[in-house]
Amino acid sequence: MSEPMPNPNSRAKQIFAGALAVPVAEREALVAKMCGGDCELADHVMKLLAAHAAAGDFLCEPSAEVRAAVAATAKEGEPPPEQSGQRIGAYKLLQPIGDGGFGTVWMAEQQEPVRRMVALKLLKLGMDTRQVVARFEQERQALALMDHPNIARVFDAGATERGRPFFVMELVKGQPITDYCDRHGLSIRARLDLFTQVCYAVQHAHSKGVIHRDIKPRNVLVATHDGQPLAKVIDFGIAKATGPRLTEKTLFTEHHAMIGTLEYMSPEQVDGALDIDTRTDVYSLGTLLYELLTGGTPFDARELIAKGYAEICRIIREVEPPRPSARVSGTAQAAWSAPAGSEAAKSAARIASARHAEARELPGMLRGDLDWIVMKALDKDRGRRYATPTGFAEDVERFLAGEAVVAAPPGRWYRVRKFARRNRGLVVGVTAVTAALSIGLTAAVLAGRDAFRARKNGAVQGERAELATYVKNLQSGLVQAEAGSGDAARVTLDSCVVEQRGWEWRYAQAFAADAPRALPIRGSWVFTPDGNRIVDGTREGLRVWDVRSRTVLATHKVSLNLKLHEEPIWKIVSDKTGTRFAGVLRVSTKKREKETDPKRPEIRTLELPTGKWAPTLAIALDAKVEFSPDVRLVAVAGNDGAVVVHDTTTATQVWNTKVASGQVTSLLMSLDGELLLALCSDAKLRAWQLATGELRYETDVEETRMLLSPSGSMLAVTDIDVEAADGGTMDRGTGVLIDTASGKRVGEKELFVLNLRDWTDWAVEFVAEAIDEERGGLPGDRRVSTRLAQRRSRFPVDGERRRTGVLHSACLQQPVTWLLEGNHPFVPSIAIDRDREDPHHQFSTQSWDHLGEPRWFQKQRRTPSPDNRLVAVRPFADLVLFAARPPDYAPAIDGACSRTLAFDQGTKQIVAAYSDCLVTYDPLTGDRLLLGDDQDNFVAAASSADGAYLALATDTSVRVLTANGSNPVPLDDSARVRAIALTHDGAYVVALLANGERDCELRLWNARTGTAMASHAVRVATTSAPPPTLALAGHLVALGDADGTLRLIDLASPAAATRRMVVGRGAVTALLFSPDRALLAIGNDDGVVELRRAPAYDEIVTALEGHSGATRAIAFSPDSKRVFTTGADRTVRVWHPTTGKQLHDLGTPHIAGMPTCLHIAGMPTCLMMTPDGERLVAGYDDGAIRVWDAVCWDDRVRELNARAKR
Amino acid sequence: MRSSDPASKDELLAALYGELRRLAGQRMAHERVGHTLTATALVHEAYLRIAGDRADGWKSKAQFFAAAAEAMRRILIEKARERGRARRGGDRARLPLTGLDLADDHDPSQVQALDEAVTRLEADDPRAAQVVKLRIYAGLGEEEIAAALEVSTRAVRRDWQYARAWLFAALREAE
Repeated sequence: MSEPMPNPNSRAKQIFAGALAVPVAEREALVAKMCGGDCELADHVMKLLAAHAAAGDFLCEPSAEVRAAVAATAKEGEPPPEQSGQRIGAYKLLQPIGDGGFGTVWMAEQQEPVRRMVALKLLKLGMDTRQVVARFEQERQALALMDHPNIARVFDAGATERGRPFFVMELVKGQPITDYCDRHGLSIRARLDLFTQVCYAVQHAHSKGVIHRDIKPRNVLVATHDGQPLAKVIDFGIAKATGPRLTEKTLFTEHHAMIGTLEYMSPEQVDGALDIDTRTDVYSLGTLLYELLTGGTPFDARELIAKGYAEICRIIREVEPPRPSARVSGTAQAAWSAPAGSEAAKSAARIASARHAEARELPGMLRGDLDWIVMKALDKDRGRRYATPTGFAEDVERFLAGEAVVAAPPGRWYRVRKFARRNRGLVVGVTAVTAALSIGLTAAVLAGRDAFRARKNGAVQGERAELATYVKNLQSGLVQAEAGSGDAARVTLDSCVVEQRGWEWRYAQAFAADAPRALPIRGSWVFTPDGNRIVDGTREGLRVWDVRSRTVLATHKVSLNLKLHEEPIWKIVSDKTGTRFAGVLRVSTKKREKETDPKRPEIRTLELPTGKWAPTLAIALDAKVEFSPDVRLVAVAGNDGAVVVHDTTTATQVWNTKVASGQVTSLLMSLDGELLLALCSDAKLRAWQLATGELRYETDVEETRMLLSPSGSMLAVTDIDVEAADGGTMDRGTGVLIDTASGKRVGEKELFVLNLRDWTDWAVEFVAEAIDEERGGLPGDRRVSTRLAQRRSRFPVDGERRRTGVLHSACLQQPVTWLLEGNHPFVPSIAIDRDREDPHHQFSTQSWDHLGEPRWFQKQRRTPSPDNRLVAVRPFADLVLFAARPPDYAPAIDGACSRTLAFDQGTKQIVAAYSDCLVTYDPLTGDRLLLGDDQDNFVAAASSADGAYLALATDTSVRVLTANGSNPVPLDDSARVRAIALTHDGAYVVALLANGERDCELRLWNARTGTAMASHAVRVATTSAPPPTLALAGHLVALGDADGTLRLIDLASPAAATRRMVVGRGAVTALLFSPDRALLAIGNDDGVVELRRAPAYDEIVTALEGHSGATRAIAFSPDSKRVFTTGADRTVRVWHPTTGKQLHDLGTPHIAGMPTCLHIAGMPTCLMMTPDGERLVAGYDDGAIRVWDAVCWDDRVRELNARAKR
Repeated sequence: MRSSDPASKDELLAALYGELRRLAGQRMAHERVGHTLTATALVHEAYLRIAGDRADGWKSKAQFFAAAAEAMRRILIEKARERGRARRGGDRARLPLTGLDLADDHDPSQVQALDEAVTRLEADDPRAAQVVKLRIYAGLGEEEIAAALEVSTRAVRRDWQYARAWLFAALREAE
């Protein structure tokens, strides 16, 4: 029987998806190729692609239809929102005093029966008003009984004429308790005192039968009263009346408002429990105290927002928050490793200083009793919390009095019980097994490691001591480089002993080479076209700097006839050869800085290398000036409509003309220097032959601004104000496209313009790229994409610990996803996704908000050098040059999990095997491209140490292919593979095939020919999670098991040579032979990696202890002299294998202050060192990839240039 | 409610449908223009009210949304038909393709045309159609849809892009 025909439509969908993943220009070719000869199918797909391109925001606003439908049922003439002066019942609205997800709070005047000022809370949502009021009525009696100085009274509730429920409360003036404490710098002790007030207030309410249900800082207002802080708890009875569903519902309507509430919600509230009791308030009081002590809620709002509703609920129900001391020490640590004066450091200092403490001391003050007090209140099991707020307050008071507190750390047995409660079924089964096994195994493991520790004395200790000096130098070198002292860093690194240097040293050296360099340039300057020099203007004339050595090569002096109080303002341009420079010189008076009114403009031209100055050319004060590309001619347009072209070398007039009616609003020179273009106020675009002054064309245009495309062939005129000073916005508007040479209109296009303060130049190019892209099909296309690649690398990118910026094009998410990220002060962070609906949203929430950088940084212009090697910024007085590094980070892909990494020697690209596709990542440009998307689910994958081969297993097949995805060798089509491994040269592959839950078969193939070589039956602890792990060296298979045992099986004679040993307390999670086969690295669930020595691999060489979470992946350097490990703690560590000394910790990728879209939220799944030994690559289970590079930018530019030549 | 036999499902759908309609009407009585009501909020509210304590009757929350999407869709179609009849005897009007934002000048024929296109898409690619329904009628996000259909979010995105292009092309042809 023949195979069933694949559904033609699913084929169309597949081709469609494939085409979307490649650049626009390549789509047609790809579709034609994938459709074979099927023209109908190809037409269909092309039609869909055209529809995709034209669809715009079609259907992107899902609620629109619903809104419309609902609107259709609505009555005509909806009432306007409430306004001040309006009366609601007995209350007159005066002014709004607060706004939130719930609605609006008004200051209102009650007129009867008593005249008083009240707070009136008007709910926004159209909830069932009758029920709200009814529920309030139920509790009205109880609320009326409450009489406590720390409780704001609730007077009334009702409904407006339009059916909106409202509440009337005592008007309380004050700040949310957390704000108050921070603003007044209350010490920990004062905070605790204030907190007990709140507890007693809540206790009072409880005694009257009222549960608050929504205690959070915004509901506890504090004001200073008789010199003492006085807390008032507001909103009693309101959460109950609005119903438990308010909060759940708000999730979907008022996302952020909801999060504001969720952070304080107890697990049982999240569960939707019906029997909410007083202990819910105890929990919320716990979160309040947590925030008062640490400055943050137990769960971070930002992190919560990123998760889905279900995940938020799970976190609150199950996840144990960090203890307060751990939270603040986490902040302090982040601050310590961050440069002084950075955001993280400031934040830690701010938190501490607001509590009258040093950032370093705060954890110590909280550790112990306060930790346990807070954690007791926050217990997931309400039976284990304080029974009453009073009990809570009393324990806090015992702490203040120095007495023993009731709260205590949870015992081990308690933790076991807690685990058991959550995993009832599992535990019963496992307990029996562990009881039998654990005693024997654990003892054996510990004995083994102890024996190793004993041996570690002597020779090894000596070697470790030598390495300690090396590590110290390495670290100080990195710190110096990070602080911007590249020279000092290089000296420090040079003092490292040559024999000890490894990858981490080269990494540090590249980092130092790329460290920023400062040049004492205060005035205007320009890069020479080759990017090697900088020319700047001073009082004396023009100076020529060598960028590399930072020295002045020459000063070309000219007399500017400046008076003492006058300062020159140069605007310098250079020709394409770097031999002629012209400067427009204006003079400002220095009398008062604000009155820098530039006067007396003139043009000065310098010829190099002769250093000869051309005669001075005086111009009008407000003239617009444009130079020809060779700087030989200059066009000057005055306010009177006169346009004059001068020869700069002789300062003589070449030709002149006058715009009859009006003046020139915008002046441009075509890129080839042929035409002078002027937008005139009489709504005409005029073009003159630059050399002769002959009018080439006149075109009617309404618009007031013009932009040239990168090739110069197209001109866009638009009304979008690309120079608007308002930063951080994205404007859309129409641009009319005009053929530069003929002046003919060729179309219109919607333009996106980014106004990023001084980034308008970038915005202009962005627009220009859009124009070229739109033209499509032209030879320019290739160039456009090159430009994109260049642009990407123009911005300074990541050094190891110093974050700067990246512009990514994630090719997997078409059309183009732009991300310019960074939390370095020099680079603003923006994220624009042209595929998404609302760029503003991403823009504002993910980027600028997170930065908190000083405004004057944002005002700085960032100028890339012409060769893209450097970026110049002037943050303070001096000009600072940064090496532009390509992105070392490829962001997450939805639903993709990196399974393994390989390296394509031919193209020098990193290949990542994801759960269902292969992707290449170019370490030079940061490009990521989809290789194949056959939608298979790869259950296991492995790569050879040389990176050349990949072994991929789906549930039904095993294949070996080369790293570029070609030449697949099918090995088996029936297998249920649980684990797979390749030899280092990729010649053999072994797979563990499951025949049952525990019965398995090891099968060995020749990966080149596909012939099965050997097979051996094994029985493992379990084939499901965690699956067994495999490593292969020749015929020798290492099989790591979930029960912590390791088997070494020689598949050449399996029966004879199977050895079994216990290697760890937990499951074996990673296994790898070193390239020279001398070592076997065994990663364990407890975070320890053991290294065992050949030939028997039963002797422990060393144990690498450092990871705080399970080991996730291991890699060796090609020379086997370094081991790299990564673990569930998300750190990547570099080790010296024979001594077990940790040489470097590449840190956690989670960097405080990074925009959320760029967090590596995923767990590392694989680790690889490229065969050239230069790049360390980690893959994550969310599809992200991270690269640590031991190549400095200069070398990479060489690599890029070499590639361009090929 | 637990069983999957069509009768009980229809019954449930009817109940849900009624509830959603009631909610929509009631909501509007209390809402001003430019309110924050969304499809998801409506469906969630209906879910909380109907399923509430009996939530375990559903195999999953996601399964519920599939039914809710269907009910939502019926409300919209019915509403559109009513209005279409009232306006001009059900005549088909020109369909603007600048996005189907019906909030301002609600043209019932658009809803119908879209619905017909979705029905045709269903014959062509049932899963893509399902993704469309969950997204535009139930207002679910990619991840929720992925959970509901038990596929990866990338598959949902692929389906969505495909379906969107497909529907756009279909509607443009109809025009």
